[in-house]
Amino acid sequence: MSEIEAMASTVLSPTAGWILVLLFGLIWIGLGVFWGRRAKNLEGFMLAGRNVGLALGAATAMATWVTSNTVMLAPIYALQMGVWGMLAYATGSIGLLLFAPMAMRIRRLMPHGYTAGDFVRIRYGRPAWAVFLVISVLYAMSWMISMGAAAGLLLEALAGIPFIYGMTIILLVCVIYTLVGGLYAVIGTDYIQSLLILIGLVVVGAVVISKVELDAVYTHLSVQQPMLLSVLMPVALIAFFNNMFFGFGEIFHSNVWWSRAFAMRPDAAQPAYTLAALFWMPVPVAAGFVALCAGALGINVIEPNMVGPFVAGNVLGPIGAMVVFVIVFCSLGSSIDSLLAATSDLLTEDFYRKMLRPNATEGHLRRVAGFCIIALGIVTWVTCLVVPPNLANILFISGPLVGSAIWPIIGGLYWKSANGTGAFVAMLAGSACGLLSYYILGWFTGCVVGSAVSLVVMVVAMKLKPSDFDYALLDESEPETEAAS
Amino acid sequence: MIALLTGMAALSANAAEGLAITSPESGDTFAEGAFLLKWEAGDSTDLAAFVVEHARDAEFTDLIVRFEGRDRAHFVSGMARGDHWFRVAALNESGERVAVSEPVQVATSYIAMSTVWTLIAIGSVVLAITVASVVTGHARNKREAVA
Repeated sequence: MSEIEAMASTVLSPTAGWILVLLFGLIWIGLGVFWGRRAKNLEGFMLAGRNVGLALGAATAMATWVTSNTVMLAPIYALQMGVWGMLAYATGSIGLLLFAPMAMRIRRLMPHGYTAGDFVRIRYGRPAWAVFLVISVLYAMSWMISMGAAAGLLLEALAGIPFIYGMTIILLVCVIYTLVGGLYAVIGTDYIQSLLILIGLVVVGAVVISKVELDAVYTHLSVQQPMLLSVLMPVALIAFFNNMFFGFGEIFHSNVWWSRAFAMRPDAAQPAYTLAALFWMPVPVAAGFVALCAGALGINVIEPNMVGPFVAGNVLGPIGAMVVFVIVFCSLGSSIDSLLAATSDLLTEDFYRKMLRPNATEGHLRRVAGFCIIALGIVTWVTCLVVPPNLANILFISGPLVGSAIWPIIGGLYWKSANGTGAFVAMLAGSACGLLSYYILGWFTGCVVGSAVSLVVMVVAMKLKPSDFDYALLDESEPETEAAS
Repeated sequence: MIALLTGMAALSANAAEGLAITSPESGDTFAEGAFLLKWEAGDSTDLAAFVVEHARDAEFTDLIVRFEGRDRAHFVSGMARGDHWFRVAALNESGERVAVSEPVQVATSYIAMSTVWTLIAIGSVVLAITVASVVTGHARNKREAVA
């Protein structure tokens, strides 16, 4: 019996796990097909008709941001960096809070926009666009692979479902309903998933707090893991900023968030993102707190990835384990479907339509988008099988890259004098310096350095050669097609 | 009876020989104060539990018991800066120590505080500019929208 199996053997039986996986898999596919009937044209498929309201908008943003990483990495942050680590992960909500006003501006400047790539191409020109697309696709793939690997690991640890089956089923379910229903299906299922996640977390949080004595947790930590309570824990102090900038970079540049901004009604975008941030903020704190309680509860941590679900499952018993399983399943689905939809949009719109077939018909583009969703699913599946599933490494390596994209986005949205050369160099220099810092100083420094270098380059380029960008150019009319099908 | 006791003693001796910390290795340094401690105990079946002991000196004065149970691994985190010693003891069904591993010495060497403060200063400045840019940009956006 492996160490992970030994740790998880009491959480949930394989039979119960399989029943839940199949039940929720069928529910998501059914709901996806049901909501997907409304995706009658390309805009419906890619952007849910640009008519998503406040409730659905907030729910989809919140559910997408509650990833399996929130369930798995937030506890690791707490276990390795203590209270600061817990707070560091929660800074991800600040990215959503800051993106809220940006979403409002995006919606106003680009009423007919499709992707974040559209913005960078029009705003900065093709060289910066090319670099941006590389960063964006690399990041999306690293996120998706980390989700696929997490799916396999979590289902194996929680219910003994073999890695390959768990990973395959979750990817397959998400590919099917995203393929059928596009963003309509993604947002609809996200809504249900966000409700289940929130209800589940309230139940888990309440029960754990009722069963844990805070004094015992504090005593245990202060004796056995004193640095976890230290205000001056070096790694945690930097990680606080690093994770914040990682979140900024992820949210500001990724088409996952831009596509939702385009999909929301103009009046809904800002409040939806603000609400999502407020609902999301307690999630990593709760997940981290659960991990900090492990020692005081007498639970031996062997696999840090699994500590959150494992502790909750042990404290809550079989019913609690099922609740945890559902939370995990929802958090995986809500992120993977969003990534499939947003990345296929990026590939279809920026690579296929803008680079290869500018006059492609809507029907043709819809088929291309479907092909991209399937291809992304297959690439993710194969990579998860081949690459050892180290979640933190898979995701964090993209941190310096997305950190370098923060300033091209902010500058592009708000500074008329920001120019394409500056954005191009800022992303390259920020990525290079961030990666150097990642390898020399540590993973917890890459984003801070990448974003700082990117800022300096953008500002210097702006001062040397200020542009006078006309924001009206961002309002592209409906993309030209041969004929609407 | 004597033969049985002799057999038990032999088993314990086997356990003592097989009990060893396999990871980390003595002399390893950890920049984040965390690592997975793993040990093996041969094929002994008479061992009821293991105890992981942790101390700040090689003599194990003021030792802390970090774990007691049947698992053969334990995640260590939150260690203070400096040297640490770990060893694993095996217990039989009666709770008696029948074997103790060779201790391993590891060190925690966090990133220098001067680097930390530099990065925090950079991070604070970038954060302040980020928030200021978005807030002022948002105010301008609202004015433009009204106009």
